[in-house]
Amino acid sequence: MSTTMPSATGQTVAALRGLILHGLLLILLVLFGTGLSLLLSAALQGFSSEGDLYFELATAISFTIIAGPLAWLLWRAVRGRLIHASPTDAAIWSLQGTAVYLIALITASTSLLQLLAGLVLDQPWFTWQSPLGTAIAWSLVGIWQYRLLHSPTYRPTELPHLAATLGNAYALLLAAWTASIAVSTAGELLLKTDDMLIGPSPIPRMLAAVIWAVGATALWFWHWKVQRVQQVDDAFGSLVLVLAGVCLPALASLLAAAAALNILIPLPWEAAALTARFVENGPLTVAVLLVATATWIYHQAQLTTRPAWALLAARQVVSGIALALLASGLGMVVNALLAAISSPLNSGTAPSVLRTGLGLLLVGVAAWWWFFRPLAPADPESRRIYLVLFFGFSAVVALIALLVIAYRVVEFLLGGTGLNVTMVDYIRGPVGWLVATAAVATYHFVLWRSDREKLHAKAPETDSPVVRSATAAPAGRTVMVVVPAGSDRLLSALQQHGEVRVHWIPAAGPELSAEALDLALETIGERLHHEPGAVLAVVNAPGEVRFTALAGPAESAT
Amino acid sequence: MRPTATLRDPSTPSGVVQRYLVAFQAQDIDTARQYVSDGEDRELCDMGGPRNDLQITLVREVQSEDTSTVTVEISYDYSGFMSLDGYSYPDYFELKRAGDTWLIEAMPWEVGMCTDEEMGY
Repeated sequence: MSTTMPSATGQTVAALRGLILHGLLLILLVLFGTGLSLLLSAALQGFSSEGDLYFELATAISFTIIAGPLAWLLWRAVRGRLIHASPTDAAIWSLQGTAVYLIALITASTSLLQLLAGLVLDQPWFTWQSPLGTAIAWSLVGIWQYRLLHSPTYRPTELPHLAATLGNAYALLLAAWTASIAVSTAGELLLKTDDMLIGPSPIPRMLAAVIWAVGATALWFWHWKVQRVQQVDDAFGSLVLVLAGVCLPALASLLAAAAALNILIPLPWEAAALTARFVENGPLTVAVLLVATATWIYHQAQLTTRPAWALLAARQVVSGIALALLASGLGMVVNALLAAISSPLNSGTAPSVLRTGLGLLLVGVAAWWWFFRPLAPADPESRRIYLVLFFGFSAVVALIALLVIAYRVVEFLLGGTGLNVTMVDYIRGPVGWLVATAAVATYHFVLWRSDREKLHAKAPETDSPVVRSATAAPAGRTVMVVVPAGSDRLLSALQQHGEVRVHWIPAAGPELSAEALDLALETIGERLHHEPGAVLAVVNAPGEVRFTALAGPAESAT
Repeated sequence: MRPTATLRDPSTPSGVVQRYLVAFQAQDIDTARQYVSDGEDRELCDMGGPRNDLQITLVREVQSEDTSTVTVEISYDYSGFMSLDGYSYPDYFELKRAGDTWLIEAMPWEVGMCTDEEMGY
């Protein structure tokens, strides 16, 4: 006790010390970056800012001269400990370095892109000094931190790829988002030209969007290929790939597909309304659909080089997303139908709700069918977490829907609405959610029940074969067959025998002939037919069988 | 900033609105006054002048014998985080017939000219 206690405390103290030192380093570096960027911006403006120059300069200089040297001293103090760092220290170092790197990366990249985009946009309040100063200062901080995280001396042994993985995810999402906007702006440019009365030319806007998209894509490419994030196949890397590369793009593409259906479904049956919807929402919908689907397909293909769980997890999350869309769509369709029957005054809202609902429902059903594969046999074990999460989520939705319905019914009966609406109209929204949740939950409850039965039936088979079977068999009787290897035909034939649990104990000796196996099968079958209870069957070379009756579970327990 | 759209027929309400907006944007107040009823009594409502990221598109033009309402969408390419997002909202010009052309009676204040009374003097 006297030896373990101090070492445990010592470890805690060491971890706490690492946490505090690296936490301080993080704060100092962020302060230094902020001060340096303010200082550079002020210097680029020739110290003649229109704003509060003294405030800016005082902040900039104090942050730079206090935080900078202190950060340097602190780094010199901690760096010795990083060379043969304990796993805890290494992990803390990686987390701190990643935090600094990400802050610097995000600030520097957005400032630089804002600067380049601002140059083509020609906006009156745009100044190039401030974004340039910010970009330079944070690039310096980010590059310094990145080099340390990848230097052979200080490279963290734990979570070594954290910074690159998260930087890659950021760049990917920024690239996808800005590329969607660029494509969407190009689409608007094609669609809307004749009805402009005055305004700036939309070309600079599109150029700015293209600059953002190209810059972000270059950043992503640098992380993905040059920094080899593509080859990082540790668990965290795969998880981030599944979330940022597959699930978010999948969500965006499915929503965009639903929005596209919302435009295309002809309710009401008017070409003019359809055109108006397309002009208003078409460009963004098409852009997101294109970019998100391309991102999704690319990363889905990348998953084949990852551990099997990554592919399964991606499939389950996507089918969960599809299910959520399906249920939302179903709820909206119910809502719209209730609206249609309750009052003729809803003629305006009902079609738009119905269109949105149908779009979500169709996309949800299609994606769910494809990814959940309701008809294919599934491994019950693999989807237990999915089902448990699903029940939790639907319970919350159902509870909220019930509360809203109850509240509104009471409010309606007490006459507190002050509106001239029918009761059905007043509660149709939450009734839609409730019906959708109940329908989807019922289906999954049936699935859950059948999975549980399968799991129960399966569980004993996975136990170690010989020792546990006699006591653990819940149904049927045990037949232990002692026979040389190569007798699979006999064993599988016995397994067809209904209510029989076959265990094979390999015997020494050559393989049995086909006739011998047939004879043995016949003999054992006859015995099983005539006598109940567990049995040990020893098969010899000519196919003759010697039986020993075994004690059943009840007898062996006494 | 520059009108990239082609100029519309000056005898239509939207053509008048467009010419007014072009003059307004160029800060050519004397020309702008010609398109407004009682234009000589009016000054800019917003003394700051127009923003050069202002964009106005025609949504609808409804015309009766003597009056017309021109619905427009006013949008700003407001510089946010992305330099890409903006905001927009619909507003109206009301015009009345004056011979073979039209005069603006009421307009959105951002691009409007106000009488002293409207300015609160």
